[in-house]
Amino acid sequence: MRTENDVRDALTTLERHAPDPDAVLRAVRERSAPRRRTRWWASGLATAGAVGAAAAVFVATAAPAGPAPGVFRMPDGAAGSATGTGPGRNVLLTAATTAAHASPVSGKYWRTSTVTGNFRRVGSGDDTYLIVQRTRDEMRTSRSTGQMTGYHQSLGTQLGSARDRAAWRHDGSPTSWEIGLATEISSPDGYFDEADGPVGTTPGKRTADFGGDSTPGKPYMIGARELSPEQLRDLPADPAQLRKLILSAYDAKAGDGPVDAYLFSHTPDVLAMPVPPAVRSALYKMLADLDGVHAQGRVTDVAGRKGLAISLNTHYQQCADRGADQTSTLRPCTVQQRLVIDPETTRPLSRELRYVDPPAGEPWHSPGGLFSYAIYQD
Amino acid sequence: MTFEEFAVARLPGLVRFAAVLTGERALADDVVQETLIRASARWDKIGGLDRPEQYVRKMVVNEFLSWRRRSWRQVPAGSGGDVDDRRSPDHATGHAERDALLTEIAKLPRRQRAVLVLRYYEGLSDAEIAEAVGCKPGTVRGYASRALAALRVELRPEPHEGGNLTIGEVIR
Repeated sequence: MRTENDVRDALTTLERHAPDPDAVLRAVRERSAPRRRTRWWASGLATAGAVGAAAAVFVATAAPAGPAPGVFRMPDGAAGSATGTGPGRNVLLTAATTAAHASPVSGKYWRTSTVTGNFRRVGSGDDTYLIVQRTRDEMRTSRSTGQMTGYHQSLGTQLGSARDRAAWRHDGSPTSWEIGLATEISSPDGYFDEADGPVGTTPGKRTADFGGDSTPGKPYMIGARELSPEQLRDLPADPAQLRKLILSAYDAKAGDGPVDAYLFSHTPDVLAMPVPPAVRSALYKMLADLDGVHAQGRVTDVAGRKGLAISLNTHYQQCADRGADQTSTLRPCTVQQRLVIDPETTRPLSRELRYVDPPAGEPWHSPGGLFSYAIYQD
Repeated sequence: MTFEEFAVARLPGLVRFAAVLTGERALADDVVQETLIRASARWDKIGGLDRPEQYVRKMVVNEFLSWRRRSWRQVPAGSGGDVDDRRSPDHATGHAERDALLTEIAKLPRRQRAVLVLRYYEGLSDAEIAEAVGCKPGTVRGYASRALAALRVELRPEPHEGGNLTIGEVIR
């Protein structure tokens, strides 16, 4: 039997394949030599000071100019509420009953599309403002073989709200932004695939990803497990066992937060999978047993669709936000997760994360301010 | 710290890391070159960080993970166009078992491989790996346990250092 030490030793022997650092640096210098002056003034991400520093050795690449950003608009009635109208247990138990009587998923393929919007803080000093970085992930899986094709596309960036427009103009009306350490909001894992380099108002190309690193034939990941379509169909219709499965990747020490908040945030993705009616029903029963779940009644979600909302508020002692000086500050905050479901199909419509109490000293967040959303589409 | 100072001080460690991460000299060379070119263009920001080497290491990981997607001109593995030194047995030391293990590591999906390298070669905690790979700590553990299971590695329960308590994840 092999040990972790064997892995460590084996990996270390690969150091012998290291290229010569001097040769690498020479090649980098050669390839980075300025060929022509970049139109840096057209690039929103390059302030005069920053370009001055970068141009001392290399010339920064300008991001392509894009159209002026649109503004994220909250549909009427989608503003969210801090408390909710009452306990959410009954709403969830009703959903469980509805789900149990729904017809099973049919069809050769299962398609889902998820649009996510993540608010990022850009600009500097008094001109700090929020932008929304939007991406769409699509997935098509064969229900017989489990073969999966995914597509990923950046949908371009919007201003967070109309009140961000003034700060955006002060910032030089950029159409692209450097996304990286300094723009992170409230999360240790706030990095995105696009994190390195600029994001702009221009949508990106839709690119195919044939299953990525998932095990072939097992496209559904729940907790630490990858499941085939058969395994998904054979899931136990038992709230306790489903809870255990979703928690199989949970680790409080690694910053996964309170168990209930974790379950509330990880269950919607499972509800969006083609699980049997009895399993969907059991998932709702499991959510009904979480402490502090509130009903918010009939609402409009961020995509403007009507549905039933349930929410869970969680207080955290330490919310991370990297300031413009790129150091993390850790302050208490309260976050509301809201799940909007279609009461007829019991499929999830959207998830939203809002600050009920933003971390102190962060004027760019308002109470109730949305900072992340996901829209599930068929 | 200027980019040149950084490169002189950190490049030897970075190329070793890239070699372990990629398992091949040519790919390590490409990945480090691409990363440094992009890092130098943004050095005004990266150079001001407390630990620029950590950020550059993260860039190397991203470059490695996204390499296949962008570089369709890459010679496919095993087609003989490039010397694939991952698979040449290390006769000098004669460690057949270790070579067998390396051959199996070379077959792992890249993300699983990256997690193993960050955990066992770089000695990072799962929270730090999550930040470097750009996923959730739970996902890191999923990748690690699948990789270790594929390699038939016996696990002694060994708590990995946790990160700060932070709020629920941003939706991805």
